[in-house]
Amino acid sequence: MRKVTTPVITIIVIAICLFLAGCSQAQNKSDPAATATSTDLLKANWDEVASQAKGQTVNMYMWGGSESINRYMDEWVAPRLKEDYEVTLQRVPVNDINDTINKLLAEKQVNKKEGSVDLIWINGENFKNAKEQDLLWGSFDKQLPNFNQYIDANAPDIKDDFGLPTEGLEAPWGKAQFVFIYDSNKIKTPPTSMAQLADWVKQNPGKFTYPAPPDFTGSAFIRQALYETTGGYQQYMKPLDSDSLTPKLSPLWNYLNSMETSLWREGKTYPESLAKLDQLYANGEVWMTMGYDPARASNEIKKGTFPASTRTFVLEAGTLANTHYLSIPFNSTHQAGAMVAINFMLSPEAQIAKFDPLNWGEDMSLDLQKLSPEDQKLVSEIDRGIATLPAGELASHRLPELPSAYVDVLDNGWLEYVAK
Amino acid sequence: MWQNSKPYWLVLPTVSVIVILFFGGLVEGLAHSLGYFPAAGQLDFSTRAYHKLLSSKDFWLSLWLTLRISFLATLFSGILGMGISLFFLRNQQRKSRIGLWLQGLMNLPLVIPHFVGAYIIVLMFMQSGYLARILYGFGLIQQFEAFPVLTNDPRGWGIILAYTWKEAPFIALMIYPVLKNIYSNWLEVAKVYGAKPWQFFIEVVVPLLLPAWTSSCFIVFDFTFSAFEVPYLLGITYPQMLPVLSYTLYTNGGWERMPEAMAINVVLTLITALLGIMAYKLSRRWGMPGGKS
Amino acid sequence: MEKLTMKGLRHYLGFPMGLLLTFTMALPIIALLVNSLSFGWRWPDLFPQALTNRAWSYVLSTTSGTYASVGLSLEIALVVTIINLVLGMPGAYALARYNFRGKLLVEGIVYAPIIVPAFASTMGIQMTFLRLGLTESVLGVILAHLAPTLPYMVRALIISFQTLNPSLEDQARTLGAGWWQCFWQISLPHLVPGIVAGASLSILISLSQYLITFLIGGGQVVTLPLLMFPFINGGDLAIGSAYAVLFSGMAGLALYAMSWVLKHYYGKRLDFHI
Repeated sequence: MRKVTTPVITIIVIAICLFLAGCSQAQNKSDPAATATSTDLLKANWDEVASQAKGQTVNMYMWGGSESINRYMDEWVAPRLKEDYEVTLQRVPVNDINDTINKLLAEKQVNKKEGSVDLIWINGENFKNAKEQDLLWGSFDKQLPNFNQYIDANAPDIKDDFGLPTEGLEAPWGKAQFVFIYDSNKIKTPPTSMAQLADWVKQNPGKFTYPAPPDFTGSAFIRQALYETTGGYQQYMKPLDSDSLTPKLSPLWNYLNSMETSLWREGKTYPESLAKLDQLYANGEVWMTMGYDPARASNEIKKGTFPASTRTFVLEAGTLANTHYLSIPFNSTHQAGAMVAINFMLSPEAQIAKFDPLNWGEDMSLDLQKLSPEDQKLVSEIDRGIATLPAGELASHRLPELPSAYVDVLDNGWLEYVAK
Repeated sequence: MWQNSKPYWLVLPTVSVIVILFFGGLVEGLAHSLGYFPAAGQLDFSTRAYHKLLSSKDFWLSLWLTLRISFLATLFSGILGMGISLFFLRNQQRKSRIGLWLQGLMNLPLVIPHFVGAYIIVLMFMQSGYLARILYGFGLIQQFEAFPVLTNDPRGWGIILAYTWKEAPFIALMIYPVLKNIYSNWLEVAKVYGAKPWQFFIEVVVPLLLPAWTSSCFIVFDFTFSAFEVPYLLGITYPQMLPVLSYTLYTNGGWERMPEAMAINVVLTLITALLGIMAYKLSRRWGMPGGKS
Repeated sequence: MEKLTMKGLRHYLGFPMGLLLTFTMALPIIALLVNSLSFGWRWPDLFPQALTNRAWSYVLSTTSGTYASVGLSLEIALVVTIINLVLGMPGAYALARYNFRGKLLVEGIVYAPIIVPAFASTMGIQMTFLRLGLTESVLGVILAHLAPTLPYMVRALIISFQTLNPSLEDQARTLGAGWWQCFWQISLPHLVPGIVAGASLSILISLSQYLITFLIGGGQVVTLPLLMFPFINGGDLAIGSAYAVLFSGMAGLALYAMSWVLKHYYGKRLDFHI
């Protein structure tokens, strides 16, 4: 009987050998190209950084669910970066960047020194977590020539990310502002305050809802309501003190609960994501949607998803605005390449292309005044689409975001006092 | 000596892979749920995560929802699967081309991953979805508000629909060989005794098919009980199905709450294992579905 | 016999019923396809106002990463299936032919991953994989895919072994065939239907893993489900639909190609059974 088993075992052994051979190849993929230690790099001058970056492949982890953003990265940024700086940009599509932060946290725990994440697109809560857990590499932004030349580093909306000082751990990539999106065929005069919005909702039952927090947009809507129902944002621009906060929040919960029965499906359920709300809006189930991207409505009209009569509005007292950033994790193996990539993405050329709705249509992080006259002219000539508010109107209605510690408290409070 | 140990050598590769890769993970999860986590330097055992879990209302609501959804999804796909299987049999006997073509179409849900199935259900069944439009087109409803709320609804109908659509062909495939055997082995006998077709179906087919059907249903129940993607896409904010609750705690809760996520996994594992043993007992008593019965 | 069955079945399940069933099963796919091509498709239109190839031109563009991820998905599924076959064959043989102490336990262990959710195990093992450097590698993902697929392969093979009459092999042996010859010429051809069934399930299950691939692959192993998930979950829905159609096509073709190769090789008509 021995001869029965021998071939079987031989096959297994061969298979395992082949298999292991395959693996070691797969493992060799990560090249140890980055040689200089990271602290040197933080002090190095830009030429050294640029020469070290040559030939590196940078893995950029970012949300991957938008055609225009993906195309901007893959078809506009990546080829130019390759051509001009010999840096290869590899976009890694992610469903939720929070998962990537979690991955870095796990790598930190097991002390993994050579991670594969070189560049991440983050802000707010995720930045806070990453910063608190020491997941970010170091203060690099002052080394970037384009940061120094074109960005107003002292502006409050650049310096602080959701109330938390960036300390150079991340460099601003773009700005977003909360806008409401409505169908002008169905709503002649959109509300101009949260109080008017509540009245409108009560007069038009079933035609309004918001995504359930902790959805990013839903959560922003709650904060928007917080500012207007509890007397402005200034009182919250300080570290969180839960005990004194709780009693202050009751007008907010009252406000949200008072409109609940007039919401879509009588407030028994909420769309769990902005995408779901958009779908409801596109199908005419609700008459308003919202979002943290002023140019999105125009984009959706262009794609045929939103009706052509779609327009946007901001509240008289202003709407939330935030900045989002690019950062380098602690265990990136291609920090030089990542710095070069970030610097390029902060160049007027790349930012103006990003601003153009043909590519992405998102606000620049650069200070308009610091651009050359030619570039300023270029910017003013870009047609941002019929539903996008003029840059001036948006800029004059900007409110800062809360420190991100509040965000959790509000999201949980919403679950507790409104959803249940 | 060799003769005696031979079967053990033969099963060794399979068993070792599953023990290392699968049970290894379960044991690590169990240890982590008890607070033992060397990677973070935690070496003490405690049942804190379980206390916290079992005393939270969220957990019990989720458990109840999960049980309800899995039960209904299993029931519906079991019935539909039986229907499909009978249809396959009829086709086979008729050898009709159209029939076989339809049969191929019916297997479609098998090649579609669950999360796509979930998305399809949204397209079809949302209040302004495709079905509502068809009804509107026929003048049966005047506005979409008249269409029932079937996706992202608190009772989980969307999830149930997605699973039914996905699992019915699976059950059909599982019981088809048994069904075929029953018809080819027993029909002749029944004819001799002068049984009418419906009598044959009720008195012979159903009892003989029941064990295979039940054990396939157990597998489907287990699957729907513990799968993640569909409820992640089709569920509502609160309460969540258990696998989604576990994932949320695992990725959003930070390090302190990970043991709770692992504790949910342990509970899920225990319940599914228990049901699995029952299915196994059933199939051993009556023969595996698809085997010679 | 034929008549009785048909009458009986027609009684309970006529052609219209079959049509209805097909409709229920297949209509969603059509809706998916239409959605991937639609421009401005709003309530209450039954059909889109206009068609556009926007979604497809993105999905099929060279920069979207679709081709690489299709290749990678298929590669992983194929390797997983081959390993399953090699690992599962002796095990299935033993379980089908021998009675031994602890057989029940072995069966319990082998079938466990069918019923216990794989992510429960993957979450637990993630840290160990990380420490061993197995995360972010194709190898790690392949290993992680073994647990949920191997039991199905073993099961399918056991059923095939059970229907193979041992006396056939014995006869061949008495006629002087060696073990290898016997396996290759007698057993294997008989096992082909079981191999097709097991491999089909193994390929399908491997292709459609999202959570496990995501946890172990860490974003570096971008299979098709990973690429499409952000689109389906809150992203661009037309592109999500296009990916879904592409995925179904890929899975269907992979299965068809596999069973064609095996059938062709053995020149046998095969029944797809599990």
